Amino acid sequence: MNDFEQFRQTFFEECDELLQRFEDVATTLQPEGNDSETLNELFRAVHSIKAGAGAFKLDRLVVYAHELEDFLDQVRGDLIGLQADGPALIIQSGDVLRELVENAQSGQEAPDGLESVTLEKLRQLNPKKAIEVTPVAVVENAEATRTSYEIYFRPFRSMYETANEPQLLFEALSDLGDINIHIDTSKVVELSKLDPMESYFSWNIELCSDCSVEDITAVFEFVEDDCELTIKAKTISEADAEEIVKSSSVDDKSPDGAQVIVGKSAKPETERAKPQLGSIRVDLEKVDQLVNMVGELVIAQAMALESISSEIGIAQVNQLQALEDLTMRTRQLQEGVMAIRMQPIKALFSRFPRLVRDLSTKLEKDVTLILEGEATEVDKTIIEELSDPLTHMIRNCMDHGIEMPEDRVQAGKKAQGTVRLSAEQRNGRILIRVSDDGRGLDPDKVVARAIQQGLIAEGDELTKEDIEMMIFRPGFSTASAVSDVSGRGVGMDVVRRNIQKLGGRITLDSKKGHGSCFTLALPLTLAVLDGMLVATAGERYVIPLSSIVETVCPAPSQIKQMPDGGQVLSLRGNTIRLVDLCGCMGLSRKGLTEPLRKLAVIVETEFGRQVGIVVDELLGQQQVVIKSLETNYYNIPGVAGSAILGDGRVRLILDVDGLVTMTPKPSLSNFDKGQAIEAENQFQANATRGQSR
Amino acid sequence: MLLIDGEMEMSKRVMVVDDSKTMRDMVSFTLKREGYEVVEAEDGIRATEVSGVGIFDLVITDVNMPRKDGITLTKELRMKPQFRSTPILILTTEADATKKAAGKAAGATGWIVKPFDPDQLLSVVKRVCR
Amino acid sequence: MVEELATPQLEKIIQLESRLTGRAVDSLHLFLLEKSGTDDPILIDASEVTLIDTTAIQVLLSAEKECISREKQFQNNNMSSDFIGAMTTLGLANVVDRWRDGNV
Repeated sequence: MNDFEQFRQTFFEECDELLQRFEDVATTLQPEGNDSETLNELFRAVHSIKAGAGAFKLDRLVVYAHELEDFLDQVRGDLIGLQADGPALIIQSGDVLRELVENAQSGQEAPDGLESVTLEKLRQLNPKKAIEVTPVAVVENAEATRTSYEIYFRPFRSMYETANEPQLLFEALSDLGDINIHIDTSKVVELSKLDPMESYFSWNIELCSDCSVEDITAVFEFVEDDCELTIKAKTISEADAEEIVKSSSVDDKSPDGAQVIVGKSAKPETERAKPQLGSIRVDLEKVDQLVNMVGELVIAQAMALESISSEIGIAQVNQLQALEDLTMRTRQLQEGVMAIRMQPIKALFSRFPRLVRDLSTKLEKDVTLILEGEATEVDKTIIEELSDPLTHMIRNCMDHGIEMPEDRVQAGKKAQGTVRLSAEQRNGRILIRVSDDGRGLDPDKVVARAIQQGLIAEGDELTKEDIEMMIFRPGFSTASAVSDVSGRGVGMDVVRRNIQKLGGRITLDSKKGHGSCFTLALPLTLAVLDGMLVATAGERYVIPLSSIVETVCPAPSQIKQMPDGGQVLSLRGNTIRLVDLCGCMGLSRKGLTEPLRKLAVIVETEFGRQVGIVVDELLGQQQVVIKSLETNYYNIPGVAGSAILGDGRVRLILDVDGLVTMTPKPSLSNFDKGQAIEAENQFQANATRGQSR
Repeated sequence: MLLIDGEMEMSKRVMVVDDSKTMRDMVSFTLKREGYEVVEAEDGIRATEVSGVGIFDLVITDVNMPRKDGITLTKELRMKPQFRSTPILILTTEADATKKAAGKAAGATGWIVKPFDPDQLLSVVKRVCR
Repeated sequence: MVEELATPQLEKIIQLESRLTGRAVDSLHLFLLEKSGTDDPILIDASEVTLIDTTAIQVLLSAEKECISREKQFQNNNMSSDFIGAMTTLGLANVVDRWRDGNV
């Protein structure tokens, strides 16, 4: 019987462990975005079960495990996507596998058709139906006559480099029949020129045997890519040689005569299975094109509307049902198209529980991860771009934020730390928060380090915000030692830059001893914006509607002058700084009448700060298509992008946060002030240039 | 083990690397029965540790293992002088052409197809190790 | 790798070690290369050899060639049965004879 029988016990014990592992891991599966290690684990578990099952000749188990293994191999290689019911299917398959194993162990026959349901589904999802072409049988030696073979064999150096030894090959050949070996040593060079790993020998071998060519190539199986090998066969009885030639890896110096390359296994043909119901794979490029085209459609529709309005007057236009219809449908189309690119942020969050678990163990800290708002939908690009930054931040939280359990208890906290990752949609933006209840930023340490690095001078006054923003400076780190978990603190400036590239903002809110919270604010869609059209000094701008809190027309008594030259608005007890858009944009009012009463558009920034942008007119709401300035021009502080309006003209979209940042603040450290002025100058210079388009 | 007066016959030393205990047991059993000395490792990292101790005449390694897989292990072993000419066999499943090619590219000498019985294992070993 | 034994005739014989595989091939090459630069003949004793790779045999043949071009003596007249077996398997039986006789 099978020699390996004594290991059955071990095998089934191992199966039990593997199946348990499989189940544990399978329950964490998501339809998308699974960790490669997760998928690898699943694959390996089934792979091991299959290997063992084969050794014990448990055929039914082998067959099933093979299908499941193959499926998992495709998934981990990204050739199949798991769809919504993928995870459930895998769990179910694991159950079937377990039942098969249990039956094999007890020696019972598993019920008929146990595998069929899951097998059917697995096969449906697996598009790879390889048609394997078996090696073409070259020599039909039906009568098993003795054949005389002439074999030419010349190794390449790679054969020696992979520790294959010709003596062993020739010994194997001699097992097939009678051999005669002739060596050609003519290529050997003197010691001084010799490269010991190079190949200088070649051989001509006569083999007299009733074996087939396949038997011979089998001997050279391991080295077929590492040598030149030609086999000529002559049946002894024939007078004229029937030359069937096989050669592989033909080098430039091929021996006499033309070689007919006999096909080995041709490339397997793949059949694409019919698209699965419920989903279809689409090139991201096509989706982007679609988004673009719809964007242009929106513009075209707006322009048409404008043009008709100027002909027959806006009142009449609003009467026209057809136009209203068109507007509505265009908007719906746009929303639909944008929705294609949106995915639940769960895909992004799903890898973090594992990360936190692993880091908890590694750092010997007790940390739990809470996820909120996983169903929040975000643009696919954002998911991709956020993966690294979020990973970095979570590592940071765990490494620098959360304290060791003993320290936490001593500080009166519970030993287990919490990291919270949440996502929500608000005001047309996506807000993602990464927070921990750890030790928080120590303002004194930050200030000390900033002074040490020459970023600020001693005695500079800093707001809480200033201190928090400090950590986003390149090279800034208060970590006394570099930990290999999160590396240096330099990462945060890169994180911030990446977020900004997406048109978003990142801020930190931290309280010493209590914890920290990073807030990422990202645009909901990257292409279309609801905006408020405003005018100042004859120029029009777009302010993102999502940033607008209210618009007011203040009485002169509500406006107060500040010592630094700025103005503030007193509104319901609050003091709101005013920014004159005209001045900001470097426009002059020469020749234009100054409006009697200015309007202030109160906007709110990510900081939660409110600022009033002073404009001349409000022109109404409009949806615009965002065209990036950066790709067409370059990044301008205070300007988020440009929009093409219904009249066909290009208008700048204001970046509210940028504008606000540039506004001088009452108490500012030297560096900040200098930077603000610098930015403002730059901004005015660029804006002027930009305006003259 | 040192050679004393050229008389002592050294038994061949084989490293068996596989994360499946069953597999390791079976391979070890077969080889030991043939007079080989076997050193086991449950993954590539352990194998690397073990590789520094003594001389090996053969390495048999599975491909799919956690922490460090067989292909990576093969590549790394080949870079060590004492493993430059050591036969390395990778355990693969039938007809998995990509794994065989990857193995060869990494420097493996050949492969053993799973599942195998003792005779099949030994016949491959004989083809590469003497 | 190799040992040089001083024989009564003060000739130094190069004794090949038992297993000539892998790294041993490199050092064999270097040793013989150095030796070929001296005035000494190359006298090899392969009586201890139990295992020898083709790459090592390439080196030996290369050494012979080097000697011929320098008009030096090359001889390998004490070969173990394993050594001869290896040479024969590779089709080098005639070389065995040639070496036994030496090229003096």
